[in-house]
Amino acid sequence: MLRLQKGDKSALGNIYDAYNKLVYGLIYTILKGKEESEDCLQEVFVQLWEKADQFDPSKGNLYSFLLTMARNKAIDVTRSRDYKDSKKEDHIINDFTLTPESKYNNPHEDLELNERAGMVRQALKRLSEKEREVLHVAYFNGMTQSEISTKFEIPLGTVKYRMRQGMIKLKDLLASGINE
Amino acid sequence: MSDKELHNDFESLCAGYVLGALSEEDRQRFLKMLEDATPEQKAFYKEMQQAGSELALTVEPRTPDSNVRNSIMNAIDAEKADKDSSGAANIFPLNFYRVAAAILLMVFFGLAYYSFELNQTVEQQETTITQLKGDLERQEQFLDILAAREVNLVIMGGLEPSPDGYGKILWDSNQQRAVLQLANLPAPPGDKDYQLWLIKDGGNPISAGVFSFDEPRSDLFFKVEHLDEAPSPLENTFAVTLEPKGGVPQPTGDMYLVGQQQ
Repeated sequence: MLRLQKGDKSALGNIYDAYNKLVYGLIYTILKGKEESEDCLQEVFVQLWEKADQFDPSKGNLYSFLLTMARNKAIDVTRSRDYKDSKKEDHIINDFTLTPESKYNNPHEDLELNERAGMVRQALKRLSEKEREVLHVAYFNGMTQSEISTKFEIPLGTVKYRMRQGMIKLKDLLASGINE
Repeated sequence: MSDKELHNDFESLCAGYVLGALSEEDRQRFLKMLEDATPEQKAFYKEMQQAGSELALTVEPRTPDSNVRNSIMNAIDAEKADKDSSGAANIFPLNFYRVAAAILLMVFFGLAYYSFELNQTVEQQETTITQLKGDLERQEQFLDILAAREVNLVIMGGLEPSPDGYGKILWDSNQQRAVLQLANLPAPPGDKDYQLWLIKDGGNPISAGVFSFDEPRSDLFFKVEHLDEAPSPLENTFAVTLEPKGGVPQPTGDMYLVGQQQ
């Protein structure tokens, strides 16, 4: 990352090679379309190149920085007028467990990331279905608490409570290595 | 709101914030809370943020088209080229002005030095011209005196302070004018002058003027301005003494030259 911050183009190539499948998978999960997902992927890495100086290792690791950037960029696309016109927001998958279990076997490029991904899935299984649902639609569909409340006809207070409980559980489980 | 409620409020807003699920109003409220957060709350936020971003790890990795990588690299090359060209566009005038300023400064100092040198040369030449004019004037006077029908030549010899010194006086007594030559005398100190005296028949010395020069030479000629005395038919003696600047009525200093009209 230091090389990238110094303007080393080959460093960006290395980061792309390490994370492109994960980042593209995230973008594709949010946008659902190949062409616009690839456009978005390109924008994310160009943005990484432009904003490399904003990365602060003390505030998190590189893949978190990259994934947050990709998620926000993809959510911005879903909020654009063109995307809404295509009504893709109807394709809401509102629970992580709806993803076929077999696909979990697709390894990430990085072994450490692969282990971490397994840990996150295990942690999510410890959450209630309703908690997972709220976290999922918020993260992958970019829905606000009010929008979730309206969309799923759940009281706003309940959405906030489930979101708080779900995130705290997830955080604690990940921090403890899923031993709780 | 109690401390516990405030704590729950922070946690609730924090969960919504890391998932990007807050309304704009709540988002601003959380950012304000984060500014004043305790170290524990900041650590809580950091862990929640990490947990939130890791939700992305649950997605199925997918392989994008291989052209995407090339497109990214091409986009970066194009951006770098833009930056370089805009940078060059900015740098060029800056360098241009710097170089122009440096050249102008060099020309200015060059001209100033040339002008200084020229002034020095002109001043030196003016001094030389003045000296030559003075020399010419004295030589003309010398020739005038030589051309006179009767000219008295008095030769003065050096005394103890400057034994190698000598002097001559060409005296046109009819016209009451004379030319003095001084040779091999040391230059007088800054507060002294040489003074020429005429002593007629052993009487009191009569001042014939003061003379000064910067460097000893053998061809120093001076016009004697004050020799309006008629010569004695018996004995006329000339002497040169070193006196206080501007001269004195009667000699007080050492005598350097003396000679008698033959």
